[in-house]
Amino acid sequence: MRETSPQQEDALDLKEIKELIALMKKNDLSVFKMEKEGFKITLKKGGDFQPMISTAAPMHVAHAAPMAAPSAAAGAPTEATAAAHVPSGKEIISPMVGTFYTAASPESAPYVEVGQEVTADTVVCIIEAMKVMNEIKAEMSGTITEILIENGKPVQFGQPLFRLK
Amino acid sequence: MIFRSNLKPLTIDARILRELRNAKSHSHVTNCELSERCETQPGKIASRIAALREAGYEIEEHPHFGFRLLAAPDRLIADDLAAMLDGCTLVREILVFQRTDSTNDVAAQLSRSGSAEGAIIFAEAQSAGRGRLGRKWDSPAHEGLWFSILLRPKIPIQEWTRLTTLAAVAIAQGIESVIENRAAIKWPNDIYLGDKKAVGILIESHAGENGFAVLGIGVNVNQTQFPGVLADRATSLRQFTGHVFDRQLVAVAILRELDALYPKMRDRFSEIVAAAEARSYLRGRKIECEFAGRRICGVAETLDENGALILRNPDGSTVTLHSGEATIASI
Repeated sequence: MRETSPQQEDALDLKEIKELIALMKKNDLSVFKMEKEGFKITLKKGGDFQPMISTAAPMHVAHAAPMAAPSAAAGAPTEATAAAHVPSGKEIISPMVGTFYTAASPESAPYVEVGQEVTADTVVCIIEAMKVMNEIKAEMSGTITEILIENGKPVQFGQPLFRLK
Repeated sequence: MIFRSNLKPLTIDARILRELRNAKSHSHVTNCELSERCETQPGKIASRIAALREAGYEIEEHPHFGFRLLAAPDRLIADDLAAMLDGCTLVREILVFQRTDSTNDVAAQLSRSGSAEGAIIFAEAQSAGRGRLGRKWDSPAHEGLWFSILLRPKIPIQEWTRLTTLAAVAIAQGIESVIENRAAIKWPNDIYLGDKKAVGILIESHAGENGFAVLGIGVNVNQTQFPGVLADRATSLRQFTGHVFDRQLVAVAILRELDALYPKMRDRFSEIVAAAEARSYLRGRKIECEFAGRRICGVAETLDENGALILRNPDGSTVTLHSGEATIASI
């Protein structure tokens, strides 16, 4: 019998975190989040957040940040802050790797703005990869409280794009 | 006849055109043969021939030998396109607009109203033809091909980027068969003849339930000049070869290639990547790429298994580009 509090029992030790990192590496995951009562962990791959450019060198998970320490995410500063606290509402998640656009063209008005109400069918942004312009729908209803990515910046698979309430 | 046609089954006019085209320049087709092969009443043939003549087809009628097609109008005719695409599995329906804002928008509207994969939308002219990020695409009437294809790919959304390489290869191969010369692919989605762009591709997709992708293609076919700065960057099949081309035959050549390649997108994509690599305009050249505000320089090498471009940096390491605008570096 180990003498540990329930929280400690749920928490991960260093060995388990290393196993998680290996698992992320194996499955090419860039973000891993886990949350339980009294415990929370966010692992992110790569210090310099450049998801659209993969180097030929083996992918390494050098700067995985246990306990959600904000990483030096050059490409996506908002995402770094996002990882640092518990999301209070719902999030629209990127279904693919690509470049994030808030509007159909530089001259057009953005698809959505903070404070706007959306339904499941509302187009919220475009994600482009290999010149495929993919319109992303909210897939949920609510009010946009935060746009987490800057126009023209890269996004990863599974990365939160918008926060809703 | 002109504006709308189906492939399964072909309309009567499409069947008549198919038979006339199959016999073209060789022999006539009798009224009797036509009615039999088109599965229609002999009495109906004469009235349909009259209608085809009204649409601009020159059809000779010999008292003994029957009908012979002499010339087709320089117009996009839905039934004629359907007739020439008979046997394709992907192509299902042809729509021809005389003028529309953008064929991609029409295709997207059709998709939203539940239209199945394989509808092809042509326009003789587009008033708001566009490229990526709303960039204007010049689409003058009757000189080029401006069309969009509605697709519902049955592969995971992350792999829909394969459509870009698929489209580029299909278009390059289709054009090569028509001009009997090589076409190059400037990664990822431009077709070059010589050092100028002849084709633009715009793919717009919508993920989620009832997701779809619209493949928009603009081919410069018979233009003899381009306005302003385009003169230095754009070319047409006619400018490159010195010949005038039948736009319908160019469209059919491209769509037949697309029809043959589309099923390979899931399991035999490496064949499509190899065909794109063989036509690479950038390979071995020093290029610059703007990406998310960063400038990347390197020599273009091969494509990876998903069609992304591999760049070799000056220090010998490589980077793989999935996005961004690649231009040849000025030396």
